[in-house]
Amino acid sequence: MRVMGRNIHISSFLNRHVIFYILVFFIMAAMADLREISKNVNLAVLNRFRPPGFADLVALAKSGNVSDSDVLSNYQRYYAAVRRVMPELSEAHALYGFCTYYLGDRVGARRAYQHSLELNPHVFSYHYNAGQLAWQAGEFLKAGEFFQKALATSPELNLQFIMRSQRLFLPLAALLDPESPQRALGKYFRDHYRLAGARLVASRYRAGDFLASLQAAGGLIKTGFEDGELYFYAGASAYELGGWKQAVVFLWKGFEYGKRDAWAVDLMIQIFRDIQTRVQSTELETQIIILEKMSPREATDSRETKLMLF
Amino acid sequence: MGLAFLGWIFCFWGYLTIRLDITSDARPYLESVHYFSSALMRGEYPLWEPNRLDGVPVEFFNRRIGSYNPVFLLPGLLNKIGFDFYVAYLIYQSVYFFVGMVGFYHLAVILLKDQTWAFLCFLFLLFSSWGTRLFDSYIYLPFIPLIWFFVFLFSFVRDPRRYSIVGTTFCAMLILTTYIPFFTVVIFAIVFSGWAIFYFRDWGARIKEIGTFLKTNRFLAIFCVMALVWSLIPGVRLFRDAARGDIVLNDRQAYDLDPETGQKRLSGTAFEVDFARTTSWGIEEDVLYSASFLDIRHFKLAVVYVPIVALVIISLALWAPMTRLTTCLGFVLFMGFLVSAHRFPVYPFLNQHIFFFKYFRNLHFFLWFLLIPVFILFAVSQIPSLVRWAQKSPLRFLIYCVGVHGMLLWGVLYFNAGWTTAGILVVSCFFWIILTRASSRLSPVLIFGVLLGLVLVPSSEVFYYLQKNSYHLESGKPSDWLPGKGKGYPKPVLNLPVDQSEENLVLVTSEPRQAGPAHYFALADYDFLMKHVDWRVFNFYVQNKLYVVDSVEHMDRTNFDHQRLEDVWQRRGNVAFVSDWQNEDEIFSQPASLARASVVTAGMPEVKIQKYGSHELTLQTRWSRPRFLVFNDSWHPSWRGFIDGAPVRLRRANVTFKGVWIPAGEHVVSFRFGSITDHLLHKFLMLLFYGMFGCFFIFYMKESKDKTLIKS
Repeated sequence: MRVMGRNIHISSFLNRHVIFYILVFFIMAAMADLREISKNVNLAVLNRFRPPGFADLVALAKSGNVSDSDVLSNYQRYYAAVRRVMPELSEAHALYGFCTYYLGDRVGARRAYQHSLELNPHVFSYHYNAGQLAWQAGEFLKAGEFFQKALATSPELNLQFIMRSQRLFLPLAALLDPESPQRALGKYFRDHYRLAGARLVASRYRAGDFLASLQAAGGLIKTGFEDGELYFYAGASAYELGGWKQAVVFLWKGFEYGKRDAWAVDLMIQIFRDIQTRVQSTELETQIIILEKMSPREATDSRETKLMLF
Repeated sequence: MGLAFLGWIFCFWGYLTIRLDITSDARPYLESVHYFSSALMRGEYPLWEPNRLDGVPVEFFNRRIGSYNPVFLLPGLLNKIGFDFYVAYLIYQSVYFFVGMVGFYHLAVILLKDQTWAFLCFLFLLFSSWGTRLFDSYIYLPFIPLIWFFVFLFSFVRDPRRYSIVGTTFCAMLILTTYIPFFTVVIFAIVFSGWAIFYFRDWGARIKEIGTFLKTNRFLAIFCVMALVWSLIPGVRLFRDAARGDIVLNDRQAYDLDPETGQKRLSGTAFEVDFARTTSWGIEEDVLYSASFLDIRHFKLAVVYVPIVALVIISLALWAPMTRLTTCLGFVLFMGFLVSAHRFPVYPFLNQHIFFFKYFRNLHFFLWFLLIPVFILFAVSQIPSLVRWAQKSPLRFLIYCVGVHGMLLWGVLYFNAGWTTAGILVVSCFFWIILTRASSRLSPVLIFGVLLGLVLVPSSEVFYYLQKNSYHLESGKPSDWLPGKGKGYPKPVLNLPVDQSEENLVLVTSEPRQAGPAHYFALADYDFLMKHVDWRVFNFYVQNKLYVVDSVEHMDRTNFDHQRLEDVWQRRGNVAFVSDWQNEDEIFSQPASLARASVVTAGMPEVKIQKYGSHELTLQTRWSRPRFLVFNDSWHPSWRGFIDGAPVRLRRANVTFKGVWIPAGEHVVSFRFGSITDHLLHKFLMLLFYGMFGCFFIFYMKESKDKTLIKS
């Protein structure tokens, strides 16, 4: 046969390694459903990667401290495998992101949460964690948006979602309280919705939008949210807006509700001093003394760095 | 080759210098070698191991390498001359592994007819993950005679000689005494069909030549066949044990549901594997699992790895014409995959229609035994064709070669497959371009050196991570927890208590009841007890090896009453349970005059131990009335009893142990494992194997001398 002016022998053309591989592939494809095989094999491999237990992961979520990065790497590898096999599972991306974050890769974690959100924008923890990561990157405006979206999600739907996530979230949730995971989950969500509210106020303050911060805080306080961080940032925002009296009340409430990390206490002292000089008041002296004497102070607010597991 | 082996030692330095721990199946294998080789060093061929699970036959565990393999002497000998047992074990493993790799080199020389490319095959296999299996498995042990089997077989088919027929027979004998004879049958069938299809023109000449050889050496041929038949005997006996239901293999045996309790119970013979279990993990899973470790920082044991240059060759030769050898190897590779890949229809068909396919539990062993080595041969066999193809159009090849390497480089960087791998790809690109353009002008030393570098450098990075991710020994070495520490396995000792202390009596009342651990291999009755008797009571009971009671009752697995048994064992009731009721039980059993069974103690005046070893317990007894002696060592049909030298019926006592009625007066009672024929048979087989090994060397020396003379 002549092709482009050259003699080509069919037999010599067919006698190539690449033709052999193609032939093998077609024979295999004719014998069995390769896609189905691939899916089943992937599942079997996934089971091999499945860690023997998830207690370490739950402990990490509670403490925020990585005790054994090798163990965490195993979890990460498992979730990476789940992600590869079942990319449609938003939980797999989220849990991969969680492990990735605690292994020190914030960018990778952010990408993973972004993916989770694209798959399911109704999950509270995805927004919350994405907000936390944006906060840590200094993108406070973006963080605020995430927290606001987190607050807009439905706690009931989230609860249902976790109970339905039999393979990934439920085994973890069951470890919160093996006897009554639902009750434990209820408390878990209440705490985190409160936290998300506080983080929303904090993000807006840090973004420089003091009015929005104060308004958000007001709204949340009205609905019964009580949180040290919430009050603290509400107070700091009030101060920036010139509402000194309100600032003093909120800041002090923040202190009383547990906002006691070094940066916050320093800021409170600074604000109280400033207000004291401005209004020529001696009433704040006692509070300043209490704040100055307060020790030991937490170096940072651990809530700023912790992610939610589910 | 020596340099390559040094490189291999460098790659596994952490393991070989005892900083890293062996894991998984390698640990029990170490124990087994320790026991067996130490006994051989004492001049004893052990058939029974009294300290494992209160006594088990040795044959099963020895089938990892084969009881009569002359290499089995090596660890014992090294230990004898002063090496710590674990060091001796590591040397023995490494040496045996290297022997296998050298075998692969010879196999490649026969097939490829080119020493350079055979050396590359050797490097690929040496630095593949086969080398890692020394530290977590024992599957490399039967693989080595398998390689040599094909070396001798091919060499025999090509040029029939006495050394090659003896070598083939010897390797086949070794394989028949391991646990993979059926794997070998399948592999042989695939290879043979490949040869038959692609080399059918050679049939006539080969068959004629072999026929002439067999005619002139008919006695040798008959002897080889007989030797093969003899070497089948231990395996057949093991299968008989399994068929009789004497042994169980918990991790692999098929299960069914007990209609009464609805619980899972073992079914079939010990070697038959549940289809679902076999197909839960196969070649497909092993490959995909290994693909998850492309990021070599997570590399660990049992992950499949072949140096990247093999992939380079496959990619470069994509458009090169196939040769007959490549096609044949490709066919073997494909058939090997189909036969063992459980998700394709061929394997289920074979499982249904060929009896021994039911005996395969680990289908992924085919990956290791067949597909990896054949893949290496397949890849390397493409090189001559690749070189010719490249020489036809150097410019096209240059562009293609750079493109392929670029793609692979991208993949390596993307998957974090190692910096050295990335670097080596650059070198590889230059190497193949230069090789295809000036192969005749390159010195062989240079080619060998570059090939070694191309394979060794990336492998050492992979194995560096493997060692990083392995278990580090905190203190001591694995031999420290072996009996006798670093020395040989001590002679078994019957530890009798000094007095019949009563403080040991503990009543276990707490719930839940605790089942004993399931063991991979156990005697069936022992396994039954472990599963049905509270583990604490069991342990309390077996802490004394010998009990004497005055009455017996009938109890076996059919009328088993765990509460009754546990109650008797806990309060040391003066009764034993026998599995079959005999007249003597009626005559000798007495109403329990003593509240408790007598524990035989070291100072008991009525009993004097005369001899104790792996296969025998002989004691002198003196009682005023007939008493039933229970020896808490597992019952097995090969155990026989004697009183005053005359054989007596040995009873199965307490479901799984041994017992015998001893009449009143002074008597010598013996328990012996195996008949004289049994012991002689094993010694004969040992001599046969060693003799074949010696014969092979004699023929080899003689015939290679003849060959040299003919050449000169």
